[in-house]
Amino acid sequence: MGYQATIKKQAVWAIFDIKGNASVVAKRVADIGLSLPSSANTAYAKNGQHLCWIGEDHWLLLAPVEMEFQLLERLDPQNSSLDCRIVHVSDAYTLFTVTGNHADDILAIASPLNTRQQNFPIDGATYTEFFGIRGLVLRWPDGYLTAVERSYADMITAYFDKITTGSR
Amino acid sequence: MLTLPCPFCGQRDETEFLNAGPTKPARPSSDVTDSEWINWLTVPENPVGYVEEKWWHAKGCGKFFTIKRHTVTHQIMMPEEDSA
Repeated sequence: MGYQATIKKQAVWAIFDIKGNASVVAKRVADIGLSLPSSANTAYAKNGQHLCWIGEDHWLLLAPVEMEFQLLERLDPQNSSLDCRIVHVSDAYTLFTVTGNHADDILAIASPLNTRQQNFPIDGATYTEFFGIRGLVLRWPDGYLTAVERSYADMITAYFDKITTGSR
Repeated sequence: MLTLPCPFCGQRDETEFLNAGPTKPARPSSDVTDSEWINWLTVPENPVGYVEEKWWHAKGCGKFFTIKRHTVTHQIMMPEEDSA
């Protein structure tokens, strides 16, 4: 019996890796209309942008690729005089959405983290082990958005195929 | 399954972490013998009881932290709990 889940590899997203003091980062992301998430391993979402608090003094901003140019201008990652580090990393990640009735079950195979509703908040966003590598898991309507380092994308695709088709 | 308490992420599965070795006593002075130096550098204590060790949340938030782990029961506590 197959899983009732839809797994889709996403087109490129605009992604920025942000490190620095929280008060400084808060001011920088306020320029693009965002606030810092209030709890560790959660995301603040607005206008299709997701600001994920993924580590101490570490955030990952995901946004639709149409916003990339605007965000590059506003966040100005090339400006070394700024007091927090913002790196444009859109090309470093591949994103997948896992949605449907059995999305939780697919995630349970992929990761040791319990991502079911009672354990993983509705705005949850965290790095965890994902098919043996480090991957971002973000709660998504009817499922999850996951992000892995791009060089692993084919491997992760193959794992998803094995799970959904039951092949060995 | 061993779970470890990441200070940022909370309780997580052991497979998300890498062991970063035991915490060591302070580096000995430069006039120690070769065998004393090798002992300090490469021979970890292995008592029946708690050992203090460093862990790296490599597949999570990336934080390094120190815990105390019981070598028999794998019971874990934070160093500050011990001193309380």
